[in-house]
Amino acid sequence: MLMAKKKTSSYIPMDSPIDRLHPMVKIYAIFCLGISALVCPTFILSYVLVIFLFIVAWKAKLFKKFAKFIIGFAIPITVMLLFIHGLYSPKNVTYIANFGFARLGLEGTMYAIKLVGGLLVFLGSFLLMTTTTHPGKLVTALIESGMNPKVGYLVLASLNIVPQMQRRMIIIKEAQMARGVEVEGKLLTRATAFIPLIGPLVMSSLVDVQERGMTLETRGFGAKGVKTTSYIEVVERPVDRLIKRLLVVFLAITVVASILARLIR
Amino acid sequence: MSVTKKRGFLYNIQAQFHTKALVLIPIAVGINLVGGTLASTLKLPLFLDMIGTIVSAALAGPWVAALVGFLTNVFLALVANPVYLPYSLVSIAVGLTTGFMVRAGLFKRWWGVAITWIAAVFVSVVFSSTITVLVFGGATGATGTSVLTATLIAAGNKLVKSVVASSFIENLIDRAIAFAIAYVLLKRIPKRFVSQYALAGLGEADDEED
Repeated sequence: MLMAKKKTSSYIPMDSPIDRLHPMVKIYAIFCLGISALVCPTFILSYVLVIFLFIVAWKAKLFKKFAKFIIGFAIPITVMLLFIHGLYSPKNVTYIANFGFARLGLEGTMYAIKLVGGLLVFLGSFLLMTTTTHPGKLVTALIESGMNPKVGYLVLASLNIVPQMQRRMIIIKEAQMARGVEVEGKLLTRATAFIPLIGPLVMSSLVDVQERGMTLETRGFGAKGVKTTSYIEVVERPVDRLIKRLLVVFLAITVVASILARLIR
Repeated sequence: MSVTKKRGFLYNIQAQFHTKALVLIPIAVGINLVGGTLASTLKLPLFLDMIGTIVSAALAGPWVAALVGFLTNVFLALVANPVYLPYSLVSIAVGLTTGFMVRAGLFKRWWGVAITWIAAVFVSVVFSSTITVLVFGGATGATGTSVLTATLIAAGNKLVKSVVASSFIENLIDRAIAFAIAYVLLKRIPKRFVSQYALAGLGEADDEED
């Protein structure tokens, strides 16, 4: 079954130094590295950062998965963007290659390379954050840094409910197939099968909403002025604080350097 | 004067998030995601991952629907692919549009649903094209929409025009089916359930048609 295999989170438990980092450090890293890659006028910094992310992935014992994502994302988007901007960008004035049907322009190519670099830094660091951070710890850390605990509940409840609903979907599908609903065949047959499958799911889920609502209310979910507690503990170690400071300093240096570079030019 | 007005606006938003609306949110996110999985299991060339957003917009209002849309994309970014994260703005915008149009009473009649559908397509196209052009430079990978965009550019069209055109084709059919399914489902939800959300605009027309 295709649906049963779906995971609820991309977190892969691994005993690695990256896994042990405080979740906020990783969120700092996404923004500091990503924004540095964006503001820097050359594309070299982005690709240096991508190499750095590869080292981090290797440290996190997730090199293979990370490489698979980066390659699977980078190759199609680079080809598409080189096609769109390299060949057809209106900014192209200098041409570096001639393919007969179109010419490859330097400006569009540079734009595509820089854009892919920035995207790889942002998406790659985000992927590393999600694969090395337990969702519960991430939400607890966010609540500690000032997020509303109810929003935290919503994120975690969604992560829990979705696999439940996917299991229920399989049951409904089997029941409807027993009634004779066809889920294979022509496009129209498959399309009309959608309603008898999603309908019972929505209705039974709404019953679930009522039960959950009552259960939460009797436990004082809506109570105001109560301190919320969590079984999940996240501690900030001195090394976490150090890395956070280094990241902010790195961002500050790149921003100042790129402003200076633009002023000189 | 303006301060009290602002507080009133924020209070209005906060009032939408009572416990019953809050528990509806994860379920609606689930409906969105399962709808998407189901569409791919049935090998339909559609996403159909907005049904939960539309249902929650009709039941609990625009801001709840916006949060449903946002969390759906956060979930997809966490589980499937970080590319979904910037597109959460599209889901938020569609949730808000649908919610406000339901509140204006447009879900009482089928043509009102059609107007909401057109509005949702328009909002989706504006937001998703902006994100595709500004964040991703026009293509997000080897998807059907990106290939279509590239073909249109190769045929001599401007980048923005091509992205808008392919996004429009992608959204028009998908949103139409999503709205039709959501409308059919909403008509079948027991009134006892709808009434606890006390959102005017759904119950009355039912009485006339039943």
